[in-house]
Amino acid sequence: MTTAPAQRYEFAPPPAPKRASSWYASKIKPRIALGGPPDATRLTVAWVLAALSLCTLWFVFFATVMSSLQEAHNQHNAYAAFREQLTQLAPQTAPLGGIITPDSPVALINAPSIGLKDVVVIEGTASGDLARGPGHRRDTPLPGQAGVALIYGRANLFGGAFGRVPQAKPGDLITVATGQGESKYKVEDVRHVGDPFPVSLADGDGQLTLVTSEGGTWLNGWMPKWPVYLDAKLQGQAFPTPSGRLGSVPKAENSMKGDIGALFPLVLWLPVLILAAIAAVWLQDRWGRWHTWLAGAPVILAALWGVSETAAQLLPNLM
Amino acid sequence: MTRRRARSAMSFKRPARLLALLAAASLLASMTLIFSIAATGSQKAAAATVDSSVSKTEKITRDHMINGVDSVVDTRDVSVKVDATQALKDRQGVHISWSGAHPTGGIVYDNTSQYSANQEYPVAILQCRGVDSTTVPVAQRLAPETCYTQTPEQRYQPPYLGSFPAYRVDRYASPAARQMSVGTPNPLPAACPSGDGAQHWVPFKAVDGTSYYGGSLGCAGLAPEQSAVANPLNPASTTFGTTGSDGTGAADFIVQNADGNASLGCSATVACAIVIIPIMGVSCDAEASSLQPVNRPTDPAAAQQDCGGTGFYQPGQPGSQNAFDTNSEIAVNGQLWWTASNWRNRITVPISMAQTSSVCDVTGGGTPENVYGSQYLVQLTQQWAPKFCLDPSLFRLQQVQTSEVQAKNLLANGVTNNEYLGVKAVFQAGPPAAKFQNPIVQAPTAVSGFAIAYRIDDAKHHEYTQLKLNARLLAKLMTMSYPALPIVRDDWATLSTYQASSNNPLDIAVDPEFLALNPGADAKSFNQLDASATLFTMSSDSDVMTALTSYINADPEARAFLDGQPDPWGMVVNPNYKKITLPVTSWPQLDNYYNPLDGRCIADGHFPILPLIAGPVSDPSLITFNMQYGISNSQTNCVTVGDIDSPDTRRLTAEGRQDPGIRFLMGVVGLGDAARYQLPTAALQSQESPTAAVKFSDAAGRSFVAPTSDSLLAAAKLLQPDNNLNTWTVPYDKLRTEAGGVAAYPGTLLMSTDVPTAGLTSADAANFAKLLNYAAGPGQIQGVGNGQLPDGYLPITTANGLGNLVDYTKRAAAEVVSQKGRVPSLTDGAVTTPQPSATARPSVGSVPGVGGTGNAVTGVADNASAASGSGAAAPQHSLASSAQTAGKSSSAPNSSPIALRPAGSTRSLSPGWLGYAVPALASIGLASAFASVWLSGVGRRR
Repeated sequence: MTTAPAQRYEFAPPPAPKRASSWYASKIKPRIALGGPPDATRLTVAWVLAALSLCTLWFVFFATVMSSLQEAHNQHNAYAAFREQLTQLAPQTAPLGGIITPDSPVALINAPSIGLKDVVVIEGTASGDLARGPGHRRDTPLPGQAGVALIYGRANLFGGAFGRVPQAKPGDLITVATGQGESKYKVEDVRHVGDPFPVSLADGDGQLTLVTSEGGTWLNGWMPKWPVYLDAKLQGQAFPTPSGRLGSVPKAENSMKGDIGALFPLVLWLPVLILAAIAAVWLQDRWGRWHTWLAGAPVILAALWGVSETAAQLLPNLM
Repeated sequence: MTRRRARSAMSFKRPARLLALLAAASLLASMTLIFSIAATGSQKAAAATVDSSVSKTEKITRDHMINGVDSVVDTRDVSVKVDATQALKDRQGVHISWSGAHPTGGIVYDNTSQYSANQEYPVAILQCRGVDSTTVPVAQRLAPETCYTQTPEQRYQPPYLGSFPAYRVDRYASPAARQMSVGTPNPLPAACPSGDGAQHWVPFKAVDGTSYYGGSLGCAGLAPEQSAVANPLNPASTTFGTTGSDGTGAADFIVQNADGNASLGCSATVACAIVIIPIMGVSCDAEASSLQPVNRPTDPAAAQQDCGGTGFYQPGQPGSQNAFDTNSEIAVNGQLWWTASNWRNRITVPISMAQTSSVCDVTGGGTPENVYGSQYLVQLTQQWAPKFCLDPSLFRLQQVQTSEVQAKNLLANGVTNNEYLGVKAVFQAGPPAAKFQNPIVQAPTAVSGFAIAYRIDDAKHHEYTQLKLNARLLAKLMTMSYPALPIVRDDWATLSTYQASSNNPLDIAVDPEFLALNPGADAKSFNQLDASATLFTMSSDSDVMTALTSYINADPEARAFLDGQPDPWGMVVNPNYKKITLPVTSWPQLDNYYNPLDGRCIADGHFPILPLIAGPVSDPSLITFNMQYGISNSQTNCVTVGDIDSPDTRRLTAEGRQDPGIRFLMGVVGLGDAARYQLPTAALQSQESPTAAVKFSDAAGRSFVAPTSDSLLAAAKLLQPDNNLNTWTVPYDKLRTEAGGVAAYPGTLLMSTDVPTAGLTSADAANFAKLLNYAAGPGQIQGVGNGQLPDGYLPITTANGLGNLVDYTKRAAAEVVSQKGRVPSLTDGAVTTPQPSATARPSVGSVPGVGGTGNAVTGVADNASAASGSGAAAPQHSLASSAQTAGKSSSAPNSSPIALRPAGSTRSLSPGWLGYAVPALASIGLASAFASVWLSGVGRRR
């Protein structure tokens, strides 16, 4: 397109003010004079809508982009912690069994074919746990031990560590290192909804099942509809399997569940955000715009981050 | 190390160096220690003999002190015999028998269950650490604290029984042990019940010095091996044996070494003993005149009555099987085995544990030389491996247990550019399916066999030990010709395909042929065990299955039955197996009948029922385990599992452990395993006289041969050289016809080591030649010591008349070392040089990928087509056959045919409206942005 028509438009006489003659206005008695010059009410509504838009779009932006930064940071820390646990001078302290503190690193997973490289698995599968990386379900044995070890991971949010899990091919290799050593798993197949269960496990055999979500439409990970599983069989002998695992897990740690418990920190974060916003407005009158920006923006951003992070925990954990 | 599969070392990159350093340091530190241990261990082992049984007799009494007068209640001379005490291995079964003990009342059939201690007058059998002597330091002494019990309740008395329960008025207890609270942990953990009454704790002292107090449900801490509830799949060794009314009794006690029970810690260097305590009851002293007043019962008469009780139950009367028995009187039951009165009556039998192959992990001895193959040689390699890694003139030997068929295939096709890189040597249990195209020697290494192990209890709930089986009974079991369940039998009668079989006996326990051979195994009253309709076998390709099916195939009666001829009692083969071609390397699961109305999970998934009952497993050692503990692998138990990921909550699982006293199961195991774990094995029919009755009512005219050294030798002498396959084979037809075959065990297997004579590096070649020379010499000395030939294997020696096998192994060793591509002839001194063909691969079936046993599936297809091609009725149930092919898991490798059927399907779990959060929020955000822009008039022209 050339620029000529636009230039011509610039020089054209201003069109007559648009009247509120749209079909919408004709059907509903407008409370505010649509189409007319902006008055105070209209401006207020516009500002409210703008704030709403900003908040929601920020949240979407956080969920899709910024959360992965947070996950990367957490992974970095978890990797350092786990490395220390594996190599610490006597006795090795990487957790092996019993009840492991949630959020502590338990395993290191490598699966080149689905893009997992030195990813630290942490204990627990609640929405908040999975924000730190793939999580090991607490009522299953650790990878490498006998039995079915379930590892949950997000498909898209917070880095979407398991986003490529459904693309695995039978025969792909998954290696998992825990405090007991390294175990190799061979992928049996990806199991979608409606597929038959895998063959039941013989005593002493090990299986690793990676769980994430998929949507089935072009929105796929953004609108998860059901979980998807990847079953992999332990090659070789299982490590000793200590007893004392949890018998069941809280509801929030089941697949596709959000963590309602996150509402509590959310109601603590929200006032922080609101107070910060009020303070910024108040300060603007006294300090002037740019000073306030300088001091207020980090505070508001931090509060916004906290709100978003806790709000994201309300979403399904495999998302 | 042999039992472990090879696992690659950790390749965890960044900390690898640190880890390696650490490992090296700890290795160096423990070297000295281990060498000293190993040296003493091997000396001890070498001195051991095969028969290490110990008999002891002791006079034991129960005598009260009443009014200062000694009053003897009962005195008995109890004799015990422990049939093996030296060089014991982990999980080894030790048979203990006794006589002269007080008859037991309130019987609990499972002598190892957590409730068995509630029996009155049982014989407590425990494994304890330490030496039973007052001359050794206290720390090394055997005491109730060093005796292992599986459940904490067996060593703890809670404060429920008033202030003066029987154990507090025990006249032989020290004054300190007669106080209100003895051994109580301080502080008492909050989870433990507290109360006013007397309590007594006997903490378990682990080898590292830790005391585990246990307590109610383990509230004060358990050793890792202990459990608050006895694990039904891995029963405890702690035994409370039952004595019959004649004063005799027996138990198979399972001994654990430090591998199986690290807290108890028995090993080649830590002394242990089996302690046998015939419970006679507490000897009471209710007046307690020698004690301080506070420890004297306020009502001595009542205390004496409690403590002096002689039992609620009559001898032989059954008690509560699966709940705490409130009737059982504590003064005479097994719970108080630790009281001084009972403890002083103990009979201690010291035992020594064998050196384990784990010594090789620390002594090193270089990179292990792997030999792949037969699990039926594991007992041998486990005993040889410590010798090999400790003897500097030998090398580190490690067996990788795989299917023999698979291992042979890998060896046959394993040469690349005239070099073997993967599998370099194989233990086989039978000849290869086709001649090796490359120069490979098959050197005889041992003679062993398969056995039909069983756990069968007769109508009186006693273990049946005289099982006789013929080939036709095995054929009936394996072809799923017993309908197993009334619902199946009734439905068969309505189906044209199965109609002929619908009059078959429900299972083998009610088969007149079986009862004619085994009159004592009549257990009709409780035959409703699914496992009694099947024989547990391996699902993987195996030389053993070839041998077993060859034996069946060679028997005219069994063959006629398989071809469709009814047996003399009218039983007909399952139509799906009619005219099956034998032998096969893996047993096909051909029956596809399922009952759509079955009340269990079976109806949900349309599972064919009889393959579920057959429950074959890929790992033969699991069959051994199941036979040792009486666990049925029939997958017919429908369990409902709770709220886990899949909402499909009904699952089929194995039937599990059968209740002792009403067991009925049979399985195929190796003779080495049967010997180590003391499994009863069936005698198999070798021949019948021409005059033997066709429809027989007893075993007359038929010879049944149990697996013994003599019967293995008789069979080994009949081995036939096969110059084409270059190995000896078991001549199943001659076993049936020749005079020497009458006493020959039909399950005999020749175990050989396959080693290439071209394409090995000189180091490998020298090692394998050492192995063969060892097998032809010192390895054939029978014994329990390291490097000796364990029970269950027949020595191949010139003295046994098997000099030709020994010679061949020695000649093979020479060819292996020279690596000139020559294979010695079996029958003369010649050597031949096979010409490996460049293109033709050996036609020994498909070549499975490493670690996979995909051949099981192939076997099914082959045999199914063979069966239908020869006129057998094709499967009729259309739904059933679709169930067989349904689901993508049918293409999964590594699975037995039975496992091809899906156990249900993955269901959806919706996240609900939260799933739409991101797109919804994005839409809201965009919409309000547009609305805001429009409302505010930004950018609008006026």
